[in-house]
Amino acid sequence: MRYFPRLTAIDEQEAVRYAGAPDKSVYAPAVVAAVCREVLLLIEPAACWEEYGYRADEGLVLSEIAYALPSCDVARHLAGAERVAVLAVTVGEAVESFSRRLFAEGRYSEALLAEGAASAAVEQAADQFCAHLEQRYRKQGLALTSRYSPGYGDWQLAEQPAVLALAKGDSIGISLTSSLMLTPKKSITAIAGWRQAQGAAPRGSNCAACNKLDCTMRKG
Amino acid sequence: MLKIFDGAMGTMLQASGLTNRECPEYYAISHPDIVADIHRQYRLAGADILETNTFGASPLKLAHFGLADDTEKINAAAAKVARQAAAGALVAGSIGPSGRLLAPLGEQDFDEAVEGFARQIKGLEQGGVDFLLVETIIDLQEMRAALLAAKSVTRLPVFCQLSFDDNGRTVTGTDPETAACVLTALGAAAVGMNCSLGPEQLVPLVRKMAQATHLPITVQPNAGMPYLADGKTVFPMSPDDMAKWVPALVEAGATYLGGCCGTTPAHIQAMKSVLSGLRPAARSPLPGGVALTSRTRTVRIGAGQPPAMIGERINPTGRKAMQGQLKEGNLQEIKREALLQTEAGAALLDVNMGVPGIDQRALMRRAVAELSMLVEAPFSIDTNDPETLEAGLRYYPGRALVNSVSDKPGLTEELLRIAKKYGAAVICLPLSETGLPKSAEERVAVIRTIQAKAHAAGLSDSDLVLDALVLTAASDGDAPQEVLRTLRLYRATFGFPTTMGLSNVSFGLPRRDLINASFYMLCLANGLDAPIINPYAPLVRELLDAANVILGADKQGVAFSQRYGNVAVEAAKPVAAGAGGDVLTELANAVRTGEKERAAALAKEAVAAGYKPSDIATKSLADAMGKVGEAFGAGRCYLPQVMLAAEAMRAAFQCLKENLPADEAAFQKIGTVVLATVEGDIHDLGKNIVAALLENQGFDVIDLGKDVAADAVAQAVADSKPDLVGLCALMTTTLPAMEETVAKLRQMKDAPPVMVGGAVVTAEYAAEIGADLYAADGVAAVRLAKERLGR
Repeated sequence: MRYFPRLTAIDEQEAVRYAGAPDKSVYAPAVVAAVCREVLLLIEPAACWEEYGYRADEGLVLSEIAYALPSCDVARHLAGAERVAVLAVTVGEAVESFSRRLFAEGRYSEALLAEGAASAAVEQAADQFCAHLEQRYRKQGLALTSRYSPGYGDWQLAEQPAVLALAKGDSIGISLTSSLMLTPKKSITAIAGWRQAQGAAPRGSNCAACNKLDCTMRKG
Repeated sequence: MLKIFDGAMGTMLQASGLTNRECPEYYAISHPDIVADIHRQYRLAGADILETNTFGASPLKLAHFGLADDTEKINAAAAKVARQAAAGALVAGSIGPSGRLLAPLGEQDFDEAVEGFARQIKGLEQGGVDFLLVETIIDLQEMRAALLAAKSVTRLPVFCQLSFDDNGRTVTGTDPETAACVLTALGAAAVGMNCSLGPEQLVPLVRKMAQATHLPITVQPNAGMPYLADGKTVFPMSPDDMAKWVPALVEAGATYLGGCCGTTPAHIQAMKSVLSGLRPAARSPLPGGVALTSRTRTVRIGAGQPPAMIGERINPTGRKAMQGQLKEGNLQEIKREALLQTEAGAALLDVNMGVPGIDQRALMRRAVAELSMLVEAPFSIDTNDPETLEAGLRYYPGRALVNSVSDKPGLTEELLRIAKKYGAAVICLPLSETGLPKSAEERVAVIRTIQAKAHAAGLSDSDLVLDALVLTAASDGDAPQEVLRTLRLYRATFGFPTTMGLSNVSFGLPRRDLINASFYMLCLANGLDAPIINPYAPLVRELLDAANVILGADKQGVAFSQRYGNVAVEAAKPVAAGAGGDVLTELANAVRTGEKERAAALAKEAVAAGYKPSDIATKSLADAMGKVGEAFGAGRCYLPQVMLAAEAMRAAFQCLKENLPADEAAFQKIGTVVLATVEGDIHDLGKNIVAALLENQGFDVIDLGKDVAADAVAQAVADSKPDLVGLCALMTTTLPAMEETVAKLRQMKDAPPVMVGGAVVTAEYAAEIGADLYAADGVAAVRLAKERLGR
């Protein structure tokens, strides 16, 4: 099923952070506004997902051909979940040529920021989408865990083809290169689980869920 | 009169034996006795209104059970069961979400959703419900579809209940005030909320809705926030807990109460016993003026609100390039205009798709859908064509403004009918078939005619905005003054908000900007509420901000000071930074702070002062970059600042090159580097950064790009005999390609040293695959390259 997130602004603070600076004042405010505006015009946010039953004790996603989670970290993340959503989100390809062009023109810092803004956009789109998924089972007292992607913790990127297929990412134009990179580049795949609302961790920074403690993009 | 609905149906059915595999709504046909018994229990508990067991009886949801064709039948049967059990109670036909999210957020076509709702509604009416209750809706557009469907097939009143999140908005972003404005204008009989939250969280939301509409407010909370225990969903609030919140909900403005998930006849009984002793709260007067909304924002114009700019730039009239784009179906330029205008302070956006020779209806529909996904400002639909207007209003997830309706028998009535149908507000333009009304009094007379027709179409005065009709000063010297008089007379006669396009006044005169600015200010002083204007034309926003101080909308200039108070300080900064030191030091400082233009100017100055370009390059530029690199390495500055410095340095270099005397030798090159992102890797930002920094430092860079095969790297090395090879890989999946490339280079005779880097590459890995150098980041890469090549 597809969903088209509505982004009316790019989180400028996050865009600058993804560009490599903790502080927005590194860039002139007009530059941040102009680059984020252009990125907002170029992105084509789209998301898709499939819902599966989940056997938490075995780490088994109950798809047509059941998928056993090979990673301990993601299984731990989904502990207690009864169902899972496997999802994919992209902001499309058009934005890529923009940062390429800026770089070619020698506008390096803006190119960096454009990349950062596109990263912020795909995260925002995914957050909005997950807020939407969250509602689905709230009535039954279930809450959605934060999303967890291949590459987090010990969940290897080698699992990307399986995850993308489970999410049916091709329905929003996401594919994989032979080296298992997602195209368009600004795309993500992830899994999130619904489990008992009480005691469930609230949705929030995905960084808390990841054990790559030396990540330069880690929050908090 | 306060009334109470019944409580939850689904949990009651489950308690009576409904399984997960059964269709709950089909119980009206298969087990009418069970459904009737639940209704009776709620009636006995004191419910004044019973809800039919049809929450999920939409064609799409029934299709899960192969029952889509029985939509009308199931709804009618359920209505009959409730009717028979009602014993004097009212029966509300329950309508839940259609089952698929509507475009543009989802994939269901708006008209398809309207059709589905209409089928359900026909069944409910046939079964004898007293009114319709559309509930648990999270998308305002879906609620609009349901309400429009109801209006198209029945005269039954419609109650509209949305579900809000704990942030006070629906998950699709709509706030209670906006929902109230849109649904009131669209003809709802009551508005409110249910589900998702408990009574405590809903009290403030009820209050917000009650302050935005004259309609009754309906609220049906869950019995608290649910949790799961031993595999069962538990709603924590007891009947008495729920009942305790009844006075607060009534005080906030609710007149219809009830229960959603987790409530039982006992809850309703407890709530009813408290409700019986209460009277409806007095409602506060509504804010005046005209409310317009998008999906997520309400903007009020008139009635003491500060002036609101209506951005006029989404209009292809007289703009060849925009017309061409729109003809091709390319909306990029109007999207850019939408963002630029809202950034410049436009509160509303006028949308005109008047391109000759195209299907304006289709274009308007698409423009409204796509623009409403991008900006929060409400729209004004600018057309005189009824079909284009309908295309715009029908698919707009908010309450739009119609620009505009004049007095032209036939057309006026048609445009007003459409505006009423979709709950839009209308700009009344004092033009009639008898000609251009010159005096203010004549304009008031035409407005009176349009007002009467608007009333006849069912619109009210709170739907009307008046245009003062701007004529050009050059052809009629009295025209501008007449506009000012008209504004005053409108205010005295009607008191409705006023609007107008300003720029016509200066047509044919020089320095139109001066005439327009003067006119703009005088009109604001005479009561103009919503100028239709180019918000980013010079001074337009600044003048409005200043006028708000003068006219008292921005008391003591608080907002003005916040906006303009800091600008002077910022502008002073570069001057302070440049003070003192010789030109080479200043140039180095400019590079370090990333001031591109200043660096170029200072480089030119340094050449003029007689410094040798090679000295400038090494003593000032390279030195500055070195210091930036050191700061980066020590964590005192960040990558964007390094790149800004690189840009400044590049600008200074360009300037040196241009000012190089004819006999001066070119800059001394440090060496040649071949760079590539390895095969399979499509992320090349890191490699591009390294390339830019190396070039700046005097390296010749041969950039092979991304996804480069080992053979191609080897070939480039054989061809160009570089001093160094740099390889980049971003992900674990492409490390093998890096290893293979290094191995290939190792086999070559006289192979240059190889440097590797990238997000997942470590020093250990670099050593393991036989690379000579490992660079942790771009700055390190440059330092290592310089060291290796002995510079």
